[in-house]
Amino acid sequence: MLAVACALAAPGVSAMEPVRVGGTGSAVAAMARLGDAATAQDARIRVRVLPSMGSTGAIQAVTDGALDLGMSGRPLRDGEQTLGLASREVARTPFLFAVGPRVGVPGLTTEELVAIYQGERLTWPDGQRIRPVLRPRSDADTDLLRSISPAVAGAVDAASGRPGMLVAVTNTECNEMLARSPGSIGPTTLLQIRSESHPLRPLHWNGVQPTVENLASGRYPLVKSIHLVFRAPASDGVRHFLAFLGSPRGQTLLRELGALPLDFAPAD
Amino acid sequence: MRPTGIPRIVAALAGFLALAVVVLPIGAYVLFSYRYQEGSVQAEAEYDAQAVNRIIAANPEMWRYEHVRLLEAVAERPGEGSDDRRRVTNQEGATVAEMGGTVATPHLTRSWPVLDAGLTVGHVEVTRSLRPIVVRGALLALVLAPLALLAFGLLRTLTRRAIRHGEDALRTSEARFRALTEHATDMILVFDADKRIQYWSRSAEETLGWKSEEVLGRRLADLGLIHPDDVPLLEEAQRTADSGSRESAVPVTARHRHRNGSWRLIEGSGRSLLDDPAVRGVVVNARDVTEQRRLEEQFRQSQKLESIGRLAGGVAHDFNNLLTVILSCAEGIREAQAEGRPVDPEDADQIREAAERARDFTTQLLAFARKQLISPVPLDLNTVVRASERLLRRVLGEDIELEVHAQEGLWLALCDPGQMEQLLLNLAANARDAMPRGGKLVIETRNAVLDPGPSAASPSAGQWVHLVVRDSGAGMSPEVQERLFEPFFTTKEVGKGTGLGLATVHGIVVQNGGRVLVESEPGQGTTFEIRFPRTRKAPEEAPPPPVPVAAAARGTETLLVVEDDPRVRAVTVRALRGAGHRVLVAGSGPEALGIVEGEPGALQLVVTDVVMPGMSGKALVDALRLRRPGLRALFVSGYPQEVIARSGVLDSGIAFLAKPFTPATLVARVRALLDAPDPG
Repeated sequence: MLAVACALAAPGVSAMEPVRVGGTGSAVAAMARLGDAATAQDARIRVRVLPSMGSTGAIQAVTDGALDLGMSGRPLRDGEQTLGLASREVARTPFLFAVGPRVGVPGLTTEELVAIYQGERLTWPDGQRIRPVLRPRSDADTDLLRSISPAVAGAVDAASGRPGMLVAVTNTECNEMLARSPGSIGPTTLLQIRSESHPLRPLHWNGVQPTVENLASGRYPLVKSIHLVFRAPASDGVRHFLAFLGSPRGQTLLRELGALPLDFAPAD
Repeated sequence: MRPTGIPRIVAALAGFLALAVVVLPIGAYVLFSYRYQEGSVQAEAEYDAQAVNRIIAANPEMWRYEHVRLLEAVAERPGEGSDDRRRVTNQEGATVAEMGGTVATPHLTRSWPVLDAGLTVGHVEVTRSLRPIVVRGALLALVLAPLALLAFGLLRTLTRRAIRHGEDALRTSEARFRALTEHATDMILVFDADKRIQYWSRSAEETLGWKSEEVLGRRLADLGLIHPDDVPLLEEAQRTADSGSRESAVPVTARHRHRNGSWRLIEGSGRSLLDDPAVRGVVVNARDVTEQRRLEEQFRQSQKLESIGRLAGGVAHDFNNLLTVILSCAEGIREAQAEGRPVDPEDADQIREAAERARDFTTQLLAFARKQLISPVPLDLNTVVRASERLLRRVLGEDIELEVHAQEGLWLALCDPGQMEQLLLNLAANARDAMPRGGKLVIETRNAVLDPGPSAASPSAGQWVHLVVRDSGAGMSPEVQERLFEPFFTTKEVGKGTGLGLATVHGIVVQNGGRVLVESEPGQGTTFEIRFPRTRKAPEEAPPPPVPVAAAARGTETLLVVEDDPRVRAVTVRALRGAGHRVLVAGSGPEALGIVEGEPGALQLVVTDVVMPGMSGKALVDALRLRRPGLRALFVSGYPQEVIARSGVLDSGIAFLAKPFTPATLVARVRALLDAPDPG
């Protein structure tokens, strides 16, 4: 925290190039609001958040210099670490299942999720048709889902193999589909729900409410990390923005947006 | 001749079909598979491009880094199972994302543009191997090859067998027809369009003696086989055959030279089959009719002789009777003179009567022979019928009823009135003899319009005047009807008929341009229907009455009598000198010309026989008129010759006196001619 504070207080820093930020849709909207907050605090910091893209694509874009800061739902892989990249896990947010506003169920169990993905359960208790919104097989959220349990992994694979399923290519698109399609249910994060304006309702998971507190206490098991990837050494803009995220103001904002802020080392 | 090229063609065709058995299914399979794969790959590319478009739309600036998502988007869809290579390229053609390894050749690549706000920013390219199609095609070929071989073998064998069968049938047929033509009694010849002989049957060799090898490829005319006089006949027949259809055979009879130099009369008919690919020639069927024609000619000659004999017999019989009377009476006169007795006037009357009967008889003969001099005029047959009615009743007698039905408004016919009366009398006499126990004779006249019938050229078509004479007599058998108009043919008892009556009727009708139809059955009577063509000429005024033989016919003019018969010449000269004329006499034309040359005085009239040896009367008169223009002439003859009359109608401007004539008639006719106005 001290290093961050020092960086923010460093005198003689002139206007910097805008930090181009892009990556997982779970954090796009939140990062835009954080960028605005950073600029408000230090006018030299300017953040430009691009639309949602995949974590892998974002890492590739950072490698190619097309992005300054990539938002990834996963840490760098071995091959990616050799490309001169650095990564910081800045926050975690509850990974959850959300439904549209007219679905009246309060929560979901693992068995119910498996039954839905297997196509065994087709309607909500009120008779409304259940419409699962899937993510591409290669997406980080699909990996997360599959990691819940082998039964869930099998059910996800089964659902992905069924023709005519709704598939959202990006996180942003996923929340849009959930909000738009009646009876829909799909994976998202608390951070994304809170930073966007879609009327989605997070479901309890096996009776536990997806909140930052439950996540922090360890009661809520499903979690999605937000990693920020940059080329080392980091540019001034990246360093200053990361410093803002590590600042109290940044931490508070993250918590308000549904993420559990983490301590992370400043950028080199 | 065996068509050696056909087996090769059959083998080629069988090979072609066998090849088709292999190539066509494989070709069709490959083609349709290729089309299917092409469509499928194209659809894949388009489908993938739509997925990529969604990624581009989500992040137009950074889509190029969405490698994973792009791969996900273009990944195979469930159940697709092909090993396509899919590549997403940017605008520059650089690969943005690619999945699938090396695609085996041959392969098919189709691409589809990916768009950002309507602008092409890259392509999705799908490549699919066509090797499976090739492999399956090869497998198909392996399966089809034995089938093709089988088809080739079957086609070749069966077709060859069919050809062999056809050739056998053709050979048999050819042999059959060759045998037919070779053994035909008729000669069978085939000529090409150039009239060269293409085929010369064995019977032709036998008939004309020329071997086939001597004439083939040559023309009949070039070989001198056609009688020169008959060449035009054959050429005309050839032209007709060339212009006619193959259905029309052109008959011709011509003399052909036998190899031994004799001429044979060959009758044949040709049919042009030049347009028939099987023949390409004019086919002639011919036969030697030399002997047949000779026999026919012999038969005709014997018939003619028989006919002449019958005629001569009839004439001799009648004339002998008359001559017997004349001789007897003449002898009576001479005996009376020798004995100093007065001559019995009855003898002279008998002689005169016999001569008149002889004259009537010759008149009938002339009528039958259609040699009678006639004067046809537009005539109302009703007038003739009515005028003859009284005479007819007398001829028919009291037991036969005469009924006349004359149609009002009867058309005119061009006929000789005297002959019509004779015709009616002859028919009435014939009917009377057919009704010995009485009966009824109906004479009817009527107009008739005869339909041309199926043949427009029917000679019966047109407007006719019918004269029908129907009796209720014994009728006639068909055999009798056949000989009805023969002269001296009669069924009557000896002495009751001359056999010239109906022959005369026939002669008169024909000479006047008409026809005679007979309907009769034994016991059912007989109907003669005589038809004369209608004439539209106006009726002539009644001819002037004949000049009476008057004593005032005498004269003193100089006349020339030319007659080769000394007896006729003598009586002619005596009659004219007796009438006061000065008469020069000649026995022939040249003699007459000499006399006239030496006669300085006037010559008013020449009386000449028509038929004389050396110079005819007509030629004489023509020659005399060159010397004495305007010379009048009176022709005398036993019957009118063609030199002065055609079809029995006297040429215009000719004065004629028929033999026999009496001196008074001669003198009166001479006087009338001398007194007639100068014709100028």
